[in-house]
Amino acid sequence: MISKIIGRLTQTVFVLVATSFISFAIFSFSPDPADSILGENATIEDRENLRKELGYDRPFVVQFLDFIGRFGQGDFGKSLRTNERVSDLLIDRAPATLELVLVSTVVTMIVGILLGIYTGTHRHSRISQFILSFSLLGVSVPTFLLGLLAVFLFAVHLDWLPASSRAGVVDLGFWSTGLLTLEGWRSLLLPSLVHSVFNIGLFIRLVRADVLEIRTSDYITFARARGLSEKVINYSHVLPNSLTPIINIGALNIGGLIAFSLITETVFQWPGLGLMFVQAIQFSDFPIMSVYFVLIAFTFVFLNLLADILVGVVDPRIRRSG
Amino acid sequence: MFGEVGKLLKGITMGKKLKSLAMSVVLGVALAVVVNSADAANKFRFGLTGDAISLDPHRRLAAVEAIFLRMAYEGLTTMDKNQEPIPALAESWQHPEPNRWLFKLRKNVKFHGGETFDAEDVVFTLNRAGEKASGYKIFVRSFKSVKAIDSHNVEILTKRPDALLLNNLASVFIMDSEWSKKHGVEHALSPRNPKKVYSDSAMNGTGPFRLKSRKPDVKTEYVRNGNWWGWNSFPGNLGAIVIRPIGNAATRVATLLAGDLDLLTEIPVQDIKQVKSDKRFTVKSTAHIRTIFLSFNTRAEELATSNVQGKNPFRDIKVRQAVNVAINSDLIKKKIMRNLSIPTATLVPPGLAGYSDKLAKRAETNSDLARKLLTSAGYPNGFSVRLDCPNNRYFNDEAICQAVVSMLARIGIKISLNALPKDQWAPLVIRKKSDFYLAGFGTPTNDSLFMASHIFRGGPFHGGYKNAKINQLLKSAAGEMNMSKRAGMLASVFEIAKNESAIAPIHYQVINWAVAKNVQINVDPNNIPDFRYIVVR
Repeated sequence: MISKIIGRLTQTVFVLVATSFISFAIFSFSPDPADSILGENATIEDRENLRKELGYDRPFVVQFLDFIGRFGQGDFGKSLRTNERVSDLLIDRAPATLELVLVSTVVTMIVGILLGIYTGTHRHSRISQFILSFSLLGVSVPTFLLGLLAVFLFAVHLDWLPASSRAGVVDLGFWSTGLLTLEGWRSLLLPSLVHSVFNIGLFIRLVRADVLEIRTSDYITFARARGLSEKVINYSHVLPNSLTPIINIGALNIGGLIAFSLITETVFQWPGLGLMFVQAIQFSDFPIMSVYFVLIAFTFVFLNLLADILVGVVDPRIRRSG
Repeated sequence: MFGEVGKLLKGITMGKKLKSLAMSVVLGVALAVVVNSADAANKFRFGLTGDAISLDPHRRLAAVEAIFLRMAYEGLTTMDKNQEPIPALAESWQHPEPNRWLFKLRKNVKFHGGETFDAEDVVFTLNRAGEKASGYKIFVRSFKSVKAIDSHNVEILTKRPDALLLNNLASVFIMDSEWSKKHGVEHALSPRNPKKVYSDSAMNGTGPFRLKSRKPDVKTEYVRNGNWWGWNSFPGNLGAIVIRPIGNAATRVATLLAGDLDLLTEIPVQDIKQVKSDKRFTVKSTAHIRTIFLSFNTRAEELATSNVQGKNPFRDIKVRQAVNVAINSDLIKKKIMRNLSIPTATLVPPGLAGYSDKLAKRAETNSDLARKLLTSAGYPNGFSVRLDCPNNRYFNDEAICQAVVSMLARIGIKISLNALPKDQWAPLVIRKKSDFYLAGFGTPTNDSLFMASHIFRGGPFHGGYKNAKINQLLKSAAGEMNMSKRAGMLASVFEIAKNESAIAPIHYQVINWAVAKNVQINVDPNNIPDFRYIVVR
């Protein structure tokens, strides 16, 4: 187990270096931030001077190695737009995204797993068919469109919930949370529901497929032959055994929730990491863009590692063989 | 381990009492969440596309920053509803010699932090604004020296007669010298300097509103400065203002329609109808001081993106005239701008010096005439060229360009359209790598000389057009103190440019503001709301 973890950590470093190299290469095609910083009326000399000051006239490899060196020391650079340290910006914006992802994950897990089990165990009921059509919609309708529709329905027409922005935030020093106030929950509800729709749809189908497969296996047949009730079979035998793929896909999904938060955050003007990244792109704010890419790569790798460990804990077969 | 979890789940799902309890809790929470929370205190909520980057009065010259700065700061003069300078921090002034101005300062004025306003602050500010790194140095460019005669009298000496001195002073916001020294911001920092300073996020001015809180990209709040000297002369009655940057246009409109905003200054044209039909809001419009036009590269010997070898077609006046007469601004207005544009034949917007309706009147669109002009210029089969167009800078910019492509195709000019985000379009234009581009231009100083100089003489958006007579007129107008004489000179400039088809003007943008019905406000042609005038009934 330990050796596996060490192996994984080595992989992590490799993935991070590769990701930052690729993102750096892509950014060399991005427009010059000089125009965003100086405004349209600046002279050509001003722009050249700025390029020199920011170090963008150096060769690509030099810039890249410098970036890696500073990154390793924890210096993520400063935003070209607001001059804040990127590390401060990340700490400032992370709570918004993480809370959004947390609520979305919980909702996805509960709704997805329960409905997945239901549609798996009651294959032919009308309700199952309805749930499945709904899940298909959830997977195919773009989050952006869904978000705007939700805003117009719930915020504009029904006026039940706020249309945008994160409200009711309580500052706890190292973390700003919206979970302690009613206003906070009201503004969090719509974004997290919209954010989860895709994953709920995915989960329902995944769990359903899983459940269907397990139910045809021998030990389930034997359990039924022994006279155990359906409820006992479903919750004591089917559910635990279907967890392995759920954990694996779930980990990737959480990574996806974090990485694709930028879509939901743009629609709801949610001040998280995703919106920060979108604003950085519009401004050609390289320091933020580079760090964000590496951060997301790291998140995925870390979540995968966590999933592997968890599966090892849950599934005794893997524990025994690993 | 999971046997236990399974048993737990079983327990939960089996207990009927627990089930009903859970249901009522869920319902209760749902109800509480859905019922509207009490209205926030009487705050005026204003939605913008982007946030200000710096709150330092001399750092960034941009419309967004102007909105934020004008809440808390003010200059020696200010502009009234007719864009004329009136007294602000200066009570009165004299102009005894062409290059000498004397200002008498208003007494008993205090900064938000409690400091007294006096001549020392004016001298400090005007010097700071004129520093090399300051983004506002164009406003004090004619200044030779600023001196405090006593605590409430200031003398300004200029290098040459400056007809716009009073107008320009309205944009130089007075800072307190002690406060600035205390926080290490005595000197203006250039926006290209990556350092962040105190004055980027804190404000201490003499203006009608005080900065209460600032969270960049999320929310900025101001409260009314009850001690402001101007509440006797200005009708505004706002107690507090919240500015919320909302980048996504659809979200912005939705937030307005949900009742969470009172004013929007940037609405997509396609949403105006919906907002208008909502009884709670009105949409007010006015011509924007921003002219949208096509610009020709007349600088190059040969156009890099054209199939014409050995010469530059845009250097021929007939070709430029052909383009002008082929563009149908009325059709663009009807089909693309949904009637929200004002077609024009000149660069200068209405209300600015040199404008006349005659100048703005477009000739009839005539594709046959255009083709004849091209033929007589030596291009019977037309030619091809690339058009560089932003797709996120001006209202419906890409759609306008697409219309231009088809209009010019009719007369034989084959356009390859290069639509780009503004961050990629701007460098092409500014580095003179574009042969033919769409651009919009205005003026931060309400002065048409600025526009003429930048488009017909030299500047980042200058396509290369040069005319000796225009240059001479511009030079004279810069030093002309008599306003009507000056306007006459500028009118001649724009007339020459029109006769020579220096550019191909299309239209003036129209600003549309969505306002809650109970708000009384006048639309400002610079797209900057004046909160001193806003009244909420």
